[in-house]
Amino acid sequence: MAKPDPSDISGPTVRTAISGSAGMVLRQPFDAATVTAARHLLASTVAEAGLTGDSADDVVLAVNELVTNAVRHGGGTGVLEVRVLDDVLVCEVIDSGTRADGLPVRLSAVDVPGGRGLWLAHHLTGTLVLTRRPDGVTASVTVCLCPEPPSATVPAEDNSAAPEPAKGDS
Amino acid sequence: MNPEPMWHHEQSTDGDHTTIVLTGELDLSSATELQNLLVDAVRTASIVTVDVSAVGFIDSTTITALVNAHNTAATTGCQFTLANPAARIRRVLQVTGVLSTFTAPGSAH
Repeated sequence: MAKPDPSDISGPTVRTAISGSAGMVLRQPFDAATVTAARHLLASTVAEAGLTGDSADDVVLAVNELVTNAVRHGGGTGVLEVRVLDDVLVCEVIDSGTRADGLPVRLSAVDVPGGRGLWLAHHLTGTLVLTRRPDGVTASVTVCLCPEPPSATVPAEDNSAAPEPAKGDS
Repeated sequence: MNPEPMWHHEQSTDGDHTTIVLTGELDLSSATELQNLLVDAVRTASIVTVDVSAVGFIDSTTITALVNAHNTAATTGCQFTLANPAARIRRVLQVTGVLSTFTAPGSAH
């Protein structure tokens, strides 16, 4: 396959997740022996992108789960790609597993040993997308790089029109 | 490539109480060894306390190892608890719904 022309970066931002080299800040192949190293590279990349605190830790853990999932169920190897597209950090994990047993995104009972990886990735980011390709799975999570308001975790559409929260349940 | 281990442990036993102090980052690369360590401990002691105050990272494979150890402890009558999880570790345990299973009542603030 031909390499994407780096000059393409100057073109309009492509917002689809798989978009060649546009905005690419990390491209890291991994296997079972390099899960930890890939996470450390990702953590550095995430920090350089300006994410800190729980937001950074959450996306690093989420992607760690996707990488681990690729190693254990996705053919044993994969590629981690991280892009910055405007103010969004897009992390994609591309593997070559067919997943005959499906892609469960659910929380296991407390006495069930496994099955929490994809759920963690989903819960920590709220943006997990799993795409089945003919030759594998692409898992992606995204996180906004805009600074969070100091006290709000969910942006309000229009605070001025919103009534004061009731003191008790009505 | 043979990277340095990202974690280590210290184990001490006082009577039938075994304490395991874990340090570092726990992930897929450590999961099997961690599970063997914990399962062996709950098979030979009545009380196993795993101090995770110096653990900076855990993931789903760590939780799998903890659940397997806890399940084994339930069959052998061993009391298996995690002690002193830092805020980040507590968050991961909480998000996965296992925090109260692994932390003894009164050990958390």
